[in-house]
Amino acid sequence: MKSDFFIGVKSPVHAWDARWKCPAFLALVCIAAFVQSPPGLAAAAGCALILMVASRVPAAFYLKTLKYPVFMLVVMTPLLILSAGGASLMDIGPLSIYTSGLEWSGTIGVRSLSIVAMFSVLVMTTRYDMLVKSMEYFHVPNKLIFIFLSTYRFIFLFFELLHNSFRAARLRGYHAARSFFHFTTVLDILISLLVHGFEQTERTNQAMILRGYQNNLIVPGGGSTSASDLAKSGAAFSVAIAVILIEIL
Amino acid sequence: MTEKKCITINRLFFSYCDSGDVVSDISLEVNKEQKVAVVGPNGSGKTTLFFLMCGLLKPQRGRITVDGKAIKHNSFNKEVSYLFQSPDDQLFSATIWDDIAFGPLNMGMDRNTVASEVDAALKTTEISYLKSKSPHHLSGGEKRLAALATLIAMQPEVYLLDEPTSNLDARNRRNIISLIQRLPATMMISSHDLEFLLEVCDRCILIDNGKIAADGSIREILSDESLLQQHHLEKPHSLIPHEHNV
Repeated sequence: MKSDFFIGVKSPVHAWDARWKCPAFLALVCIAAFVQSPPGLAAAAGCALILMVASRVPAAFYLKTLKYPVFMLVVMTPLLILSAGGASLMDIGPLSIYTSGLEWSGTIGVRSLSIVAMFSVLVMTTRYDMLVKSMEYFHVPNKLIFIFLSTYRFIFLFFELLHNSFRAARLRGYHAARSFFHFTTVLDILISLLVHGFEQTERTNQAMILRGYQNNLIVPGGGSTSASDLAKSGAAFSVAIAVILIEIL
Repeated sequence: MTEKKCITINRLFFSYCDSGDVVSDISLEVNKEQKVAVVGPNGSGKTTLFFLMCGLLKPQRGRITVDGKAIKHNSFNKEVSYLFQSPDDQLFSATIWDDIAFGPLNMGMDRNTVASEVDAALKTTEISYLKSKSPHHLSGGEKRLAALATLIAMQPEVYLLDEPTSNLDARNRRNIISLIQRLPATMMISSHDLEFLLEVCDRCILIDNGKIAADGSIREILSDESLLQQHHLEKPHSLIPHEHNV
């Protein structure tokens, strides 16, 4: 969990108030998810690129994050190109490369990479407590805020325990992918972590009851909005509206 | 002069569904601002007694009152606070400041009072520098102090501390000792660290098999080697006479 290593970086994206940043990012992500025309796709990719550069987070970190959609694209693209149907661009023996397959691959590739990149920028540049506060500001239901809060809190504990469990198993001769026996070891570790997680959730719930929690989460504090926050969000919404117009026209 | 009673436990019984009595006929009284050590071997019923005292478990029989008010099961008893064995169970908010504010906010305090209570708790525990940090970024000792600060901000009558010094290094252990000594509150502290209990408590209750095996001055009980051995405990090193070679 290295996402919060970059929370302290000074950049215009980091300085953007979460209450304005979250809706602006969501608008851009929605646009990236639905664009189809080449100018729209170029705008989505351009926005993602600008945000990544402006965030001043090392490119290597974004590349690591983007490898997951790239893996998916590597598997999916040849299948699409060879099976999309319609007009054939080129024949290679019994196989045909279809124009529509290339177009679909390009569209899906740009969309998925842009969305993952924008989400990465949002997570990497926004303190989690500020995300919680912005959720409260927009009246997101308490239960959803609590689920988000618990997930974020326990994901660190879960990975720490997972890491320690595998380390302990390795010290007792465990070797990944060596035999079926080791596959069952992985399952055993995961099941014990799930049980542990359930017990921990129960204890945390008890700790909350002892401090007066009654299914109503009160989030303290809040940030202040500056003119630059409004300008950044205004620019993001303008881009989103412009892309919608391009798509319609 | 008679001292004012704070905690009264009267003939308390509790058992989990698959076992015999984990707490069996426990009766005791604790005075205001008294610091009581609760010792006993693993599985003797110390944590279960604490769970009953803060209302997390419901006794099969018996009654617990704090300042004359009965402890209600599974609801918020603001007079009693409980420090969990693992601070990871207790810290769940985005920042330490939010976590400490959680209790006071639920108690209905206004935002200004909450802010001053949180700042006071941070100051008492000397962790003001951690207020903006996330719980998962803290060391074990820092987490323990933060967990204690979450209780202090609620200003309870009674603190139930379960193994407050476990897994702490000497410096953090010393911080916890001086903090407990400074807090003017009624405390019951369960620990296997008998040297620590000798420093902070004046009374000791020895529990074994869910029953009170001894109750009295901490020095007297922890000096009684045969009693301790009988209940699988060891006499603290500082109470064993030493010969010094010059």
